[in-house]
Amino acid sequence: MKVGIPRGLLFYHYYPMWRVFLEEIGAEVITSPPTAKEILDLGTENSQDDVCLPVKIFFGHTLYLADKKVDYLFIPRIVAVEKEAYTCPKFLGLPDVIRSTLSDIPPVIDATVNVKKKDKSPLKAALEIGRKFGVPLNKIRSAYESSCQALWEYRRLMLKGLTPDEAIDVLFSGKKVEKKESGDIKIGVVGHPYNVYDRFSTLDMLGKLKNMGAEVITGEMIRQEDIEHHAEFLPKRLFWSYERDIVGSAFYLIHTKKVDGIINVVSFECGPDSLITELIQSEARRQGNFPIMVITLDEHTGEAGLLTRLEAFVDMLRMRKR
Amino acid sequence: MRVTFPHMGNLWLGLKTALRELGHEVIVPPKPSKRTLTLGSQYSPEFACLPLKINLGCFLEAIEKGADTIIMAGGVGPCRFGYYGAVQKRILEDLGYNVDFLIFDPPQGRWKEFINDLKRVGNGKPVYKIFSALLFGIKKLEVMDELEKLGHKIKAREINKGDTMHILEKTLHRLDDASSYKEIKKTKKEAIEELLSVPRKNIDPIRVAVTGEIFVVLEPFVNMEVENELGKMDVEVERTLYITDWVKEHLVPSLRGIRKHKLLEEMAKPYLSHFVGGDGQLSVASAVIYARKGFQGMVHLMPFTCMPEIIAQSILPRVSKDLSFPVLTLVFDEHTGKAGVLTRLEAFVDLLRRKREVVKV
Repeated sequence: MKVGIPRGLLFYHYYPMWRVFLEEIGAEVITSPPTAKEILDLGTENSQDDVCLPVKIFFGHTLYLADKKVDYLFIPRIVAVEKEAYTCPKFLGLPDVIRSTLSDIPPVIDATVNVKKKDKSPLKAALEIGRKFGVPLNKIRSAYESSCQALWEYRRLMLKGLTPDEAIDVLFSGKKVEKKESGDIKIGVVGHPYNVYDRFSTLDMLGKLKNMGAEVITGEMIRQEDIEHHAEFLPKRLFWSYERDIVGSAFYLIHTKKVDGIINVVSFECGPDSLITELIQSEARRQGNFPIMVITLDEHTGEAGLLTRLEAFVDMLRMRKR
Repeated sequence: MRVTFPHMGNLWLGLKTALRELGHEVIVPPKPSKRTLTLGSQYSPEFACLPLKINLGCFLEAIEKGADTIIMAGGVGPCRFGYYGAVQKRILEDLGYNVDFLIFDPPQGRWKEFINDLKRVGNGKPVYKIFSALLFGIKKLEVMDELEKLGHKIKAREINKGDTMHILEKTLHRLDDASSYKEIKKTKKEAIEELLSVPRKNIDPIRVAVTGEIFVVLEPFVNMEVENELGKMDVEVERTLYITDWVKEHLVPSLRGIRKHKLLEEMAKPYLSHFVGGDGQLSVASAVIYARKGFQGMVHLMPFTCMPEIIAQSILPRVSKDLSFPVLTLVFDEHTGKAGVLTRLEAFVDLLRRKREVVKV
């Protein structure tokens, strides 16, 4: 049984968990390769104009896997990952949107995770998937436990300064943890992991910053309790979990001045981003004009323009430091 | 306190009435206009949806007229609307305005603040008085909704285009002035008589459902008066949501409301089996419901970048294909032009007419 996991959207949040679980219940996991032009083109051609770039990319990955003749596509419906908040509406409807828009795709594993409801906990979702494939109960439970461990290990590695790709390499290919290089300036990069770490859609922004000698700190490298603490500065509790993490990371970096400046990566037309970016920018202004730059990504983002902006930002930060 | 609130269709009528009953000085923002939109867009995040921009524009115009307190509904997601108040407050603060915001979120444990805010709105009046003020406001909205429903039928058949519109507008202001239930009743009776005496053609009009995100559906300035324009093309419109539905759903949850909700979920299920916030699931359910009711088509209205409606928009083509039920999605933002909307509506109505003729033959 081959199960395809598209390399997009919540991939960067949960991949090790999903993969370990699926493998332990006896599935062969096929992961789509890093985003490339063909994948983006597949996605943009087959999705509505108004969906955001990360969703278009996700469509591309899904179609890529469908073409690889997997038996199932793994697209769970992640509704809520904490009691007081939801995820973005696109995650609530994702399996439906995929099924309605794309015909001739393999069946979708769309177990719902909604921790607001007892019968929709992650464990229940795991049991549902396991039972569907006739896996004995104790085996599903142990697979679920290993998958949780994999997730903790993954997060621990990122707290050490690894990017998700590096952490996945360490977990699954047995690579050694490399020591993080330092730079003369530190830049915080905050945004959705599916934007920040997609090397194709960001035109390898993280690599470019590294080449300019900047040390990068992303939201995934910040401890959850620091994120939570600083998200409390919001006037009202934010009701989207991932966005709350982004605001918390940005506020943490602004308040503690752990970095010299922040780059906020957002996608064109992103609903939640439109509000949280406003809050982050306003906070940066209020905290003594803390340097911040917003980079908006879409399928037309050009390499030269992006590079110029990154260089200008890095130069500005260096000048301020002198 | 000189209190104001954002516009959403006729909502002002009910709110103004209720707040006036409670003894507040009410500053109704000017009807949304090009200026409201320009002001709002200027200070809003670029990709915020149109309702936020219009709201902010309304607040700025009301502040100009002397408002010092803003009443606003909140929410706990996942639609962005729930966080508007918090962001708008920050924007106004950053612009240097000093206004109070009374944002009504579901209390979720913050009862003290919630009750404090309620008390301020209550203006020292006893609870029963607050309720009766609210009910009086809602009554006016109910009457207006009923008249608009009747109006849609007349509009499609009227000989002199604009007659119905004229009566409804006149009635709106008479309802605003009404200070007793008796007066409301009298106004309603007269309006119905007037509406029924509008000279009409004897035709069997095309029937179209109008659905989508509630703010864009209810605010004619924003949707380029899509209902009126359809009426001018001799099309009978049935709107899938009315202001009193929204008010009742948020203030007095009823068994009927719950049943209606269940039905909507049931209808949307084969295509969208989970709620997605806002009115996204309603939009999908509406297509199924109105296709079954024998309507010729549906116009789906949404603000640019509206998350729940983007989900609906992505799914509607499949529903439309399965049920052979034409759906036209119109997306609105500050750059939308009326000519473009009209052209698309005309083309859509032409298509529906031709489709019906083919079926008849």
